[in-house]
Amino acid sequence: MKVKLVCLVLLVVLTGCTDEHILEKSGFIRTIAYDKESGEPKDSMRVTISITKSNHQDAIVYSVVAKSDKDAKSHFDRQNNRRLVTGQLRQVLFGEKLAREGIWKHLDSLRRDPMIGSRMHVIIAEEDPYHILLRNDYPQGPTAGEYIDTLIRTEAKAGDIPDSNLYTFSRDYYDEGIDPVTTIIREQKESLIIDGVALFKDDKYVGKVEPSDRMFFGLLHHNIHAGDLYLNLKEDHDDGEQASLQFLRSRRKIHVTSSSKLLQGKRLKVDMDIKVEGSLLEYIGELDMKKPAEQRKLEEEIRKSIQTKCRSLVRTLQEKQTDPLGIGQYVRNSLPVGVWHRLDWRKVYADADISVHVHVRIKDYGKLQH
Amino acid sequence: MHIRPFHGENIHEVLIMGVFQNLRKFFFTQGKSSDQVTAKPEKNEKPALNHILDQFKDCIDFQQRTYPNCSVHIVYLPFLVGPEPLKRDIVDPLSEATEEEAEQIFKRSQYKLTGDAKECVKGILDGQAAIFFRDLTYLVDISEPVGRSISQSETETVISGPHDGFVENLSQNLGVLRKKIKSTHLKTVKFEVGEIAKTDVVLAYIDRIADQDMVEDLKKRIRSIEFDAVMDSNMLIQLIDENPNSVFPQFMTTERPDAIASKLIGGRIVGFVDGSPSAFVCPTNFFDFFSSPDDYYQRWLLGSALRILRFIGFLITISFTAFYVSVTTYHYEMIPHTMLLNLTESRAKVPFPPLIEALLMETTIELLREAGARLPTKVGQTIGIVGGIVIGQAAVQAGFTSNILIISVATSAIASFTIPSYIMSASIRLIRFGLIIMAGVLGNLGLMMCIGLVVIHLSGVTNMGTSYLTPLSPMNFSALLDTFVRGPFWGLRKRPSISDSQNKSTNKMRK
Repeated sequence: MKVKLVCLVLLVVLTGCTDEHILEKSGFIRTIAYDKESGEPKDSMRVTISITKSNHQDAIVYSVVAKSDKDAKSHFDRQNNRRLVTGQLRQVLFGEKLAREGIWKHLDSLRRDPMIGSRMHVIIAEEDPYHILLRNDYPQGPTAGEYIDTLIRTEAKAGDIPDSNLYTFSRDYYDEGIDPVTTIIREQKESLIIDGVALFKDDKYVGKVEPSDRMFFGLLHHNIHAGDLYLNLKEDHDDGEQASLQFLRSRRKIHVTSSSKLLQGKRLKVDMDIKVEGSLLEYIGELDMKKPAEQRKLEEEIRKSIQTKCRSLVRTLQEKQTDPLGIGQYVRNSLPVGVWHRLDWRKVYADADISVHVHVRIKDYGKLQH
Repeated sequence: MHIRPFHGENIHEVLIMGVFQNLRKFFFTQGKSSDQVTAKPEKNEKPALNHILDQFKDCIDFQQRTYPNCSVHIVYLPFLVGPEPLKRDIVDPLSEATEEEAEQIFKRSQYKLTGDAKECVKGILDGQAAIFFRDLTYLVDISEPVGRSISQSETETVISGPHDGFVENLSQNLGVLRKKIKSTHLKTVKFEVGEIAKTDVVLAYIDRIADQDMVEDLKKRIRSIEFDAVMDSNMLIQLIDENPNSVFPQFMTTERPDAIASKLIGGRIVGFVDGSPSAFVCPTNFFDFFSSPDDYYQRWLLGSALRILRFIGFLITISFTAFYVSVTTYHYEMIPHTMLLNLTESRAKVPFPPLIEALLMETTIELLREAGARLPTKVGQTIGIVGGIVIGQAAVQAGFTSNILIISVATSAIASFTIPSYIMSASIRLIRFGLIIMAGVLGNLGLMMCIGLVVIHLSGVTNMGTSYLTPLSPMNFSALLDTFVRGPFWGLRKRPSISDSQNKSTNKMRK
């Protein structure tokens, strides 16, 4: 009995000692960047990692041209005095060149690591991600990692850009009838800037939504709870009429109006209804906003303007054969499973007749009445 | 000092209602109890002066007086008697009395004739004087209660509510209880426990509310105690509980009369031990140790909030430091990044792994606490301050521990003191060490394993045949209202399910 008890205790106690990650003996990788450089051999890439130092101010950056993640990891391990661990990874950056070839290979290996949280941001860097990490003189934040983290977080909260993290990316990648999107950042002299939304066809970067259009993409992509929308209503005139809707709320609805005989080559018809309401805080133009009737007129103008933008945006998405809006999901739901599987969705989507209907309501013209 | 006797026939307060229905049971119980009290071997020989003197041989505190004018011999233990009653009942009447006058004097009611030597010895030991007159022996009670007067309990304080606490004297305590519950239904049974010390133990319960089987069971247990001397009720309960090896106390002890009275009314049985200021309550469940009488004197929302706070305190006490150890050793990914960097910086100076670090600090704080408890109050405070500053401040600067560990150790120590029962709080502090070690060995897995073991153990503990986790398992929804929260009084219509009362709803004595 006693022997058994001792054995049991030893069995429990001795199994624990291997998987230790004592804080001061670990180096926490905060950011990983993958990129391809033009001069390099075809099957290798540049892997960069950034480890924030415990004084919060500096980061240790290692970079190597390697054939694989494992190759790079062993190279970093040979340099670092602390054991490198991935449990505090907060963002992964992909260079544009690499992204055009597909990023799933790398993301999948990150996703399979149980230490890595699924809220890690997936970001496309337009230029050199290595340089983004190497710099630590950003006035906004001590290190690039922290800066990117807070930047994406605040912007995603406002609804401007989709909150693209490891979870949403893998979900959209695996789900049929939707393509993932991520945020694009670009390095500037004094800062990093969000430079639109990256569009993916499966896991390949195929195009981007320009930063000026990101709000319209937001309206199409998800419901916005508190955003700001700035509109230049009459671009062709010199006396530019401008309006800005604030505290904007939007709801989008997708209706598949005709999905019959798709296999026989009939055109798919989809209606998107977008309801927008917000406070009109800024208006420069001829209309008198104190009169309700004139407000209705402005609503109509805003409606037209948003609708045009949205329609052209949808057209672009169709041309690139990428479906980040998830229209495919609605279509799939309206079809028998067999039909969906036999369907060449990319082609049907590119030819589809997707019409966008926008409804605008101005809630108020400021909170004060005078 | 007015001392209330605890035998049924002397109760002054008679509730008109209910007395007739209970008459039979009343006498039945009382008869039974007196059977037990006087369960002496057999009637002995008549008391003789020489026999008594022989019994008290070599006792310097034994005194014999002789009044030759009336040929009366008196023996007593002078340290137990009061000068006032001695003067009143012995010195004044007997100093100048003749034999005939003395005979008249002994007819007064305070002089009790006794014919039993054992009773006589016991009377002397209780502080009575034995009077030998002709061939008769009288006992007269000239005792003075030894001990302090009723004062506030120092171990269990409340902010609002009554401030009196029990004292060492049993009869005073029963008097306090009688004042709280003026009912003839309050029954008291007396025992003698301890082969040598013969300490008085009194069980009190409210007839027809307390479960009679439980009362009988408890009586049986107390009668079967074989121990030389029982000094305190906390000692007695260890002799009668069902899980003597459990770390958790199973009978609640308290020094507060109001707590005892409310438990009695809830259908529990309480016990007093002579010489102990704390009374014990049974059956108790685990959650009883987390409730304070204060909860009932506050508004119910506030009372509930305080009670929830104590349960949070319990969780913090057992798991906070253990969680620190497991997180810093194994689960760095659970720490927010900003905090992680601070923690790393602080930990980088520490030469020990987190487990050793935590055990060191926990031991230190237990040393501080123990030193504070053993030292006189004023020195204890100094130790507290010195220890707090020296260990808190200097240990971090010297690179002995990380500052977050100091926070966690201090928080869990403070949290442990929110538990009203000192004994429960000490038990919880002890099991914390097990959790810390397991957290250091197996991380969060070990922590959860340990908590699981504690829960398994708690569910196995029984108390007077009831489960230790009673309102949770077996589940009783109405009792839950007075477990984790303190429900409003309009909701507390049922007596606690643990006491298994035959009168389940409150305010109704009769069916």
